[in-house]
Amino acid sequence: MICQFCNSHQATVSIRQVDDEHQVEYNLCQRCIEEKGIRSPEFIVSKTSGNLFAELSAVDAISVQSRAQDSCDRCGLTWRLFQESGIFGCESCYDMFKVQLNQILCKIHGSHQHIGSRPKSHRTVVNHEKLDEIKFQLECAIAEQDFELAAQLRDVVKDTQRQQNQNIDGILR
Amino acid sequence: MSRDQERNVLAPVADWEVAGKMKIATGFGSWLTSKDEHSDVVISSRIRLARNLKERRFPNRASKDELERVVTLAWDACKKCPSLDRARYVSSANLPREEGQFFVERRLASPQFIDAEVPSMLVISPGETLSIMVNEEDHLRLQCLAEGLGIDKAWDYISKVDDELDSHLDFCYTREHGYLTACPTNLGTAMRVSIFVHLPALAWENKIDDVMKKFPENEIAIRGFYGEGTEIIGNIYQISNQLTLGRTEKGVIEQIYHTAQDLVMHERQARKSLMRNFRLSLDDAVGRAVGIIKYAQLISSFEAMNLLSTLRLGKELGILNGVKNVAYDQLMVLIQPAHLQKIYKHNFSADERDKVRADFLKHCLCSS
Repeated sequence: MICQFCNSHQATVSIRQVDDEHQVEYNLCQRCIEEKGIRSPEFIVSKTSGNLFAELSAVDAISVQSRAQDSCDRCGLTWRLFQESGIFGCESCYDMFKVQLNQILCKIHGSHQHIGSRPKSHRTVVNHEKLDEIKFQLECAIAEQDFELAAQLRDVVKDTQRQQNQNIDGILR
Repeated sequence: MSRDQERNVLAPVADWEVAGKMKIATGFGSWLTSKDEHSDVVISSRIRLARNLKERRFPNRASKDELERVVTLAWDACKKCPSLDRARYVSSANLPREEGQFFVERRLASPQFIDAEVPSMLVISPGETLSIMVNEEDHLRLQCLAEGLGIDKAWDYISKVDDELDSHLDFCYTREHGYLTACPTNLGTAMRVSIFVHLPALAWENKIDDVMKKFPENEIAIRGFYGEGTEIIGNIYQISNQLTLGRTEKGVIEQIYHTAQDLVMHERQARKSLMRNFRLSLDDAVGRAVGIIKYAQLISSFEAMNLLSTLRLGKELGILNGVKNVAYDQLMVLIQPAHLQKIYKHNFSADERDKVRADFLKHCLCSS
């Protein structure tokens, strides 16, 4: 479904506008959600009248709901329950509520991207010759501003160097 | 767990021996027996890591059977870790409330962990340096304590144990969000670095707020003696990182290290200033603290902490002699309710405890 506001990007989030009698649902893309400053996932507005789009910037808070299911498949947690407790019920909640969560994470941590250590199963170690090649690829990725690839390659370099260095610097895990 | 595995469940972690007239606790972790160059201000450092097991619901949504399974998996994994050789395993099924409080007072477990009535387990390394709470808010909560500003030392040990456990357990992890935790505020590194600092001189000069304001509020948390929502007792503050996502472990450790160094510098300056400008008042305060301990018949836990704080300051400034510096830190633990109960092998009422506490302090600090 295409975003009803910009008519160009894929809609990923539905917004429900409710007044005393009616309920209207709009489908928006992530970009428009962010541009319109819809930050709170909590439904608060009780009396919003007229065209929602015209009033978006003036609205204090509206309901932002994932278009996916309301509750987590594995543990049954709903977004509302999470809002009350602040605690997720399982790893699947992170997928289920990813859209809402990333907005919150940016508020809390200023980031939603992990850059710290990794479990062994996510570490990649290559041999010495391959390491030079990876380092070259890393430089290219940085030059081409492909930061996602650069981050992955950097992790491989770190993991390999750590493996090579028996005098472990535990921080470079 | 089998009967063999549970055999040591109720054995006290600490042993007690009598030296002269004074009972001395043995078995304390190094954070209560050693010092480093920052120990005049930084009492101890702690690192906590949260880990959850893949494809298992977090403790708040898991069934009793699932939690018991997590305990078994954790038990099996811990037994295979060389760094946890000769560790003590305490099952929640055999952990009376007062015994649990004993571990809280020794900083080996959190109050929430002890209060939760779910299948759980506490693993304590030899020397009480590291402990693992199984089924607290997350499946595993590892924590490592070190004396003074020994954050690096704590990190070396805890990351080694984490790596060893990682060989036998599948942790919840994604490339984007890092280690997945029940609470998203812990997401990413899932690491909390804390230092416990004694700031009596800054408190005396009413400069605590001014100094703390310098630290970014959204990055550095300032808490009381027993963590979030607890009051400041004995001028001891807990300083820790707030952010866990978008940061490396090394970056967080460096940030807390520099924060600690800053606090140490300010506190030392304030202490010099007190010695220079308020020496008589300082002597008076220390003398009064000694007097109260010598003659008071009832001392509450709160009052005892403040008295020990004054004595610790007096010792650091050379006003008091005769007692080792670490003794005051140890006494701050020993005068807590569960410890007094363990020392005297008796279950006291609150009023009785104040009397016993007064006698105990007198015995430890004023007996010749």
